Amino acid sequence: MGTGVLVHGDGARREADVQRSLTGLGLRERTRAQAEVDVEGMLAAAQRRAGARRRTVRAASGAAVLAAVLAVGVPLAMSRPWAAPERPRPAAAPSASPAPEWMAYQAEASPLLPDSQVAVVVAGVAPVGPPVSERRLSTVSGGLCLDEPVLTADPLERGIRQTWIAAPGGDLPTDTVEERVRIFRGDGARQYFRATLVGSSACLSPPDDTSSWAFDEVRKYRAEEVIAAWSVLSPDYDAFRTAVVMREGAVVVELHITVRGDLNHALDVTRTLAQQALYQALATEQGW
Amino acid sequence: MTVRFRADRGDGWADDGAGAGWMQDSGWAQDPGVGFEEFVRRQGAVLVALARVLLREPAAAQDVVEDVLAKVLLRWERVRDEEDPETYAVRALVSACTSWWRRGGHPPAGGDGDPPGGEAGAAAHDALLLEALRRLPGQQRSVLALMTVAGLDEDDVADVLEVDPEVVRGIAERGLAALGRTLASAADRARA
Repeated sequence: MGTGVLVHGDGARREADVQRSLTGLGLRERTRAQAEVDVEGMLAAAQRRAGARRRTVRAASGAAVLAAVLAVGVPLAMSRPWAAPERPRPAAAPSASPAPEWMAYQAEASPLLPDSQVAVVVAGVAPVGPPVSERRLSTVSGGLCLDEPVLTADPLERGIRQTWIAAPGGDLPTDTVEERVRIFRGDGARQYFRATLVGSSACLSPPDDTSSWAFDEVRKYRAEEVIAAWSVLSPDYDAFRTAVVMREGAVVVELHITVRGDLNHALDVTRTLAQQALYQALATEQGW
Repeated sequence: MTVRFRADRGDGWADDGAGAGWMQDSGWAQDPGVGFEEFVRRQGAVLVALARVLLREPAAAQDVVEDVLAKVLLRWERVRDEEDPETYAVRALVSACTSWWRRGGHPPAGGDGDPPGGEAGAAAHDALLLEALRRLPGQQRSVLALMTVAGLDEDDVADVLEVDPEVVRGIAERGLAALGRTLASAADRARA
């Protein structure tokens, strides 16, 4: 392998060639890493970083989160100050009162945003494949500006995720929407959201090579608990990254969006899709 | 197209002769005396290799791996007792790389799989393959890297990505098909 000559025509043969090429690549990368990695140095660095992280997490808990809230001038996250939208109920009797917002969403449909709905808000995006169902595990990966495994005492009941992406435009950032919908057992959703909140302190001090995040106003979203943030992805192309984590009862919805345009556009897109996503998830909570 | 994994490797999925299945039965839970240091000695290089493949800038790999190892260390006892440390570490690494891509945002500049400047041989082909791999959507990129660099089988990848094995198979097949198209297109352009 490694000659670079690939078989044309038959797709299966071509993919078998790719498999072999990838296997060879993997072997060479492992061999190279084994020869080059300084294990003792890596161990020492990990221990040093663990100490720093322990101090940061300690500081980020409790009062430090409050301090961060004050520093950014808007609440990082808050409990809902408004009346709760009604939860969907199976076979509810007709009511004379106006239909709740849930009723606009299809209880039998997928908990994820419909493809067409996403494409209306972020033009040109399409799903990368079928939605991916998550397994019941005690660890789930997630977060606001950093994705990390989160251990919750009450595990995930079920989860599903999808990515929509626009066609690449050369070197330009690609519009992307990633959605995760999760339902936890017991108090798991609250635990998960709390971990996300604590982890969000990292958004304020990102790695050197990235811009820092700013928090969006949570009153622009309707959910029991919300945290939302944005950052400049590429000043050259006016591209932004946004992230939202919303919790309503046992349901947690996360959106990670990359979109070109100005900041107002990015935030409008995010707020619109986030609200639609939460409503869709809640409307289908019992049915998937 | 059948994707072959470590567990049922056949003629289309060459044995690398190096015990590719690094996620062996390492017995962390059975041997609580095995500590974090030993874990790093056994798995550090594979984590670095995986990060090098997953990230657009291989120089960032060491940094990401050290950060992941710090997270593992902070939760070591719980991870060792309640989880599988390798699975946890790889999951954390894939998540960290996902975050890295989100921050960096877009694939490398250059043609869609253009072959690198007339070079020949394995190095040139690896460069082309890596670039094509990094241009895949995140899930496809992660699945193929986990299978090839970490040598994980379908079930292990499913554990890492918190999905069912059949989902992994579907993602891998779509990723291989996309890579095949990209590489074939690059070969066409090279011949033209």
